[in-house]
Amino acid sequence: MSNMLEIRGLKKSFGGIDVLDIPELSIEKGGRCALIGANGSGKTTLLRILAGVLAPDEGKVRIMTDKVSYMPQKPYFFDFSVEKNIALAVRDRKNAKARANAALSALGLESIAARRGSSLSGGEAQRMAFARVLAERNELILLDEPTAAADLIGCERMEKALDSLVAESGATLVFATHTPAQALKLAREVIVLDKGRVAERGEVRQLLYSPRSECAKSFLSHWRL
Amino acid sequence: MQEFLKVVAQLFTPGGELLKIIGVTLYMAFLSTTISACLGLPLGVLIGSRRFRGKGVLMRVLNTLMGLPPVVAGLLVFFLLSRSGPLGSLKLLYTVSAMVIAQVLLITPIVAGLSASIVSGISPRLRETARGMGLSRHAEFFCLLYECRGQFLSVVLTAFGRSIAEVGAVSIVGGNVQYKTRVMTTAIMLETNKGNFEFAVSLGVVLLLISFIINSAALSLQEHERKLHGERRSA
Repeated sequence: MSNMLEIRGLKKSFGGIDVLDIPELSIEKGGRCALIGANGSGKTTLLRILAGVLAPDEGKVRIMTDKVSYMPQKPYFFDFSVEKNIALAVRDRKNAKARANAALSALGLESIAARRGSSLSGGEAQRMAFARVLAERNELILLDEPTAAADLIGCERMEKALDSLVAESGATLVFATHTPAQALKLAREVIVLDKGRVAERGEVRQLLYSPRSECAKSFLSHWRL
Repeated sequence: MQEFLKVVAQLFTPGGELLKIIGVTLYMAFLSTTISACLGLPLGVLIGSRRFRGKGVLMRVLNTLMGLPPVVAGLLVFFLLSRSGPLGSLKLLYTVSAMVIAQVLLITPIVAGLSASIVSGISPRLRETARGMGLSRHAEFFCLLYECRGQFLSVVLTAFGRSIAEVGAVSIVGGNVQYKTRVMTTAIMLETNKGNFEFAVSLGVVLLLISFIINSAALSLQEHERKLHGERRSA
């Protein structure tokens, strides 16, 4: 199968500190990949570069589609209604409203469709941002800790909706998470980042249950799967 | 109290000097604020939303100009417009236009500096989300303007407040000419120099009232919008 994204010689530093150094990495079309690693391991920077929000210092990033959805860790909500906030992200303008409402229904959030985006709580804002991703239905989905601020029920709904979306559309999914259980539910493979480098990559069960790298072992030792 | 009643009576005297002073004051303040907003807001948005070399220096220059002493601005415009100055042929000295030019010089850095600081606070998160949503640069820009609209209104009101209360620059380039360039602040200064303290205070009260009415009108517009949001929220 052909690749959805390819990285060659990627380097990024902030204030003289190297935060990302990935000589080569590719993810195939339809792949489901979880990025795990400690805080500051480079997950967010990698996702921001893939989304085109941040430019790399060195190297090349090739994305094979222009239909990319990116959900940042702290999404911004425009001072419109929630429904309009979601509809704004849909390219198909004719069906934008219907798709926004369908996404809200999938997350059980119809009741707050008319509320202002700026009035949402942290958890609600995160679910709304996720509703944008659902409504967009793009070919490449990049999510930065998508359920970090959601409660248990919200988290479960989001995971279920994401699983259905990716299964139905065949989209490529790359997401950062601190929860190995979430990686187990949604991903087929896992990339472990350590100080901006790929420490280990492998099939999700194999890597989570029997990690080889010291970094993955140390990171996963705190979790009971 | 007697002096205050005299001022109030003058307010209702058609063709009276006080009405003319109020007219010139409002004309000067509105015109200079409008021009400054047209120049300063786009400049502020541009500086606040872009990353470029020298941005820090430019922000420092703007912040310095925000504290430009009015008499210095007045002096600069005076030299420019005086008969021997580079723009002397325009014969604008001691006219309301000269006062507006001096005000624009004073207020534009305030508008630009404040709006740049507002935009740079919102812009990075908004840009990240907008790019993540695949919005075009134009859509991203209009969303940014929409998001900052409330703060921009506050900036414009601040500029208007500075303009209507300004005395140093306008007295240098306007000359406080009766029925021509006399504004509320220069009139207050004149009456104080003449020893008519009560009359000066009464003029000050009228100036404050005008400022209060204009601020209230602008802020009630904002509140009306917020109420509309509330209605939509509970709908």
